[in-house]
Amino acid sequence: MKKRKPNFFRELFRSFEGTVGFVILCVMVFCAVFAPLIAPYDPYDITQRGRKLQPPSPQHIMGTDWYGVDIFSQIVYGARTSLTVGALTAIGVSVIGGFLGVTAATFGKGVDVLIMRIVDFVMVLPGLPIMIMIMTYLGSSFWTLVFVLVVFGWAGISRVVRAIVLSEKKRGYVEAAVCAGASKWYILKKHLLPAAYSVLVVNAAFSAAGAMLAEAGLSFLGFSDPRVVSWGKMLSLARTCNALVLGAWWWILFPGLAIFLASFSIMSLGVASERILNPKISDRRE
Amino acid sequence: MSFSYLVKRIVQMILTILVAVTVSFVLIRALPGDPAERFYGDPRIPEEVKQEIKSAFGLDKPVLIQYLSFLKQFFKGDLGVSYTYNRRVVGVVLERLPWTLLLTAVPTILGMITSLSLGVYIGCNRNSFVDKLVRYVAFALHSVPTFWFALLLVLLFSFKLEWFPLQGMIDPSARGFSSFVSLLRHAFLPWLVIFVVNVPGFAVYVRNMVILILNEEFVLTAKAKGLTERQIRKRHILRNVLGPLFSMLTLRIAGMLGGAVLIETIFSWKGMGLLVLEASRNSDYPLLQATIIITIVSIIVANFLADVLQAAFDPRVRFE
Repeated sequence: MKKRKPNFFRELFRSFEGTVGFVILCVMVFCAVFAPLIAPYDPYDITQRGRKLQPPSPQHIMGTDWYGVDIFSQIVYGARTSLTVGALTAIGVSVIGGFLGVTAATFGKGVDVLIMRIVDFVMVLPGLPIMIMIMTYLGSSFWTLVFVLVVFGWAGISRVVRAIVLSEKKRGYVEAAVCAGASKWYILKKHLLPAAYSVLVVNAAFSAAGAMLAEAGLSFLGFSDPRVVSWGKMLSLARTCNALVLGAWWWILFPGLAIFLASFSIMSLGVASERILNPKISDRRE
Repeated sequence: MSFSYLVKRIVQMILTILVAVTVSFVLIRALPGDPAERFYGDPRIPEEVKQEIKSAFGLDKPVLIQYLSFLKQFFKGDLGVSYTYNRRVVGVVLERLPWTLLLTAVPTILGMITSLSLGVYIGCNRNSFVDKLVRYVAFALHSVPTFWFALLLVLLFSFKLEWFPLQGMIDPSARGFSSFVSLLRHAFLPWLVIFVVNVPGFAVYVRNMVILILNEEFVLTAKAKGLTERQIRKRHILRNVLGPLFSMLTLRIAGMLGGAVLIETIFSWKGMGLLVLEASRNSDYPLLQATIIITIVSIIVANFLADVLQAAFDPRVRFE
């Protein structure tokens, strides 16, 4: 594992998707971390408002919204929300999905059947309507949002992890380890889990992208934390303030572009790393 | 199709529905507040009245009895009364269902037909320019927020060019044939959004299936016995793609029965999705729950139909 790291990045920059994804994502992370330094105005400060509905100009490079808030500053600050939601969901999905997949494969029998049945069930549920129902009951806050996204995200990967662990279990070297007297836990930690790492990493990228899109959609419908600026909420506000009828195209175009770029960069990174980590799987897709 | 397979699937379907209903019962009880709280939640209401309301809703009985009566009512098709509409929720939901079907099924079916031909074409011409283009567009579309795409289309076609109405379903003043035309004009943009968003993804799905089929030995045999490329595509590839694609079509439409919430919101299309949103905004819990239970049950039934139909068409599914 230690040897692979520098190798991984060299491979990553060799591919077009990898480079593009990495660069865009780095810019976004930079914006999120140093938001107060980059954004020309503070979107949370009500004294820093300009004239309302200004089209893009040198003072406001992406214009202003109905309340006179600078769009570019909102986008810079919104990166924080989007990226955190993406990262937290990816971590949650990987941990829970990975754990349940491994549990199903290791214990087998009843546990396996139960977990896989739950997976089947979660996968056919209509996501958005149920998320709306849960958020209606629990109230919309940042953590409810992450919770809901994780609840609907873990199923797919747990099935994949289960399949990998099951097939790895039958390989010769694992049997050899059993004969050598290795404990179940040791084998799991040393042999079975590492086999699933690469798939987990790639899936985490896709989950993060999906979570950012879902966050945008839910915020657009009004299920967002009232205290934070997010890209989906900007679009939601644009809709309730009739930006369409006012012709304020900049208010709609830029937040959406930000969502697209964030998701696109992570998806590209995911595809590029899949090609490096799982050459067999991506070959089949080509 | 064998009878035992059908019986097995029916039993499975009923069990799944039972689980879904049970889970929703448990969830409703586990969440804070009970169904009658709305009526006695006011602290000024005296204790006796509270108890009376509770017993009218059957909330004073043991949970098991409550569960059984919930099941009984569910199978009778009684899911409660909506606060906002003051009518049985089932009626309200069933009124919305056809509109959602109209919104989602038309572009999904058209999209399937388009992507079937496109997918077979790019599958047979791997790594051609068109293949690469379609795959790239499909990949990029994954990251485009559908609702944003819809907003941009509205901005361009409805606001700037004024070709289509901004939102709504039918112009209320239109009569007869002109109301049909009005419906088409209103539905065109949402249809376009769903169509455009789906086609490249479907096409890549078909393409990957075609590539797998091309490696099969029966294709080699077909080539060896001198069939033309066209005949192979029609007789061997298309036929093998149709089965899975058809079941995917059923599942896609079922998955959207819950409403294309975002698209319905943007176009003010009064379907299931907007109903869920309305119920949520008005805290109309019976309506919210009923909409979701009905959606889940429809999805389970559609799943069942898709499986049975695929088994009827394709003997390999049955014997696995």
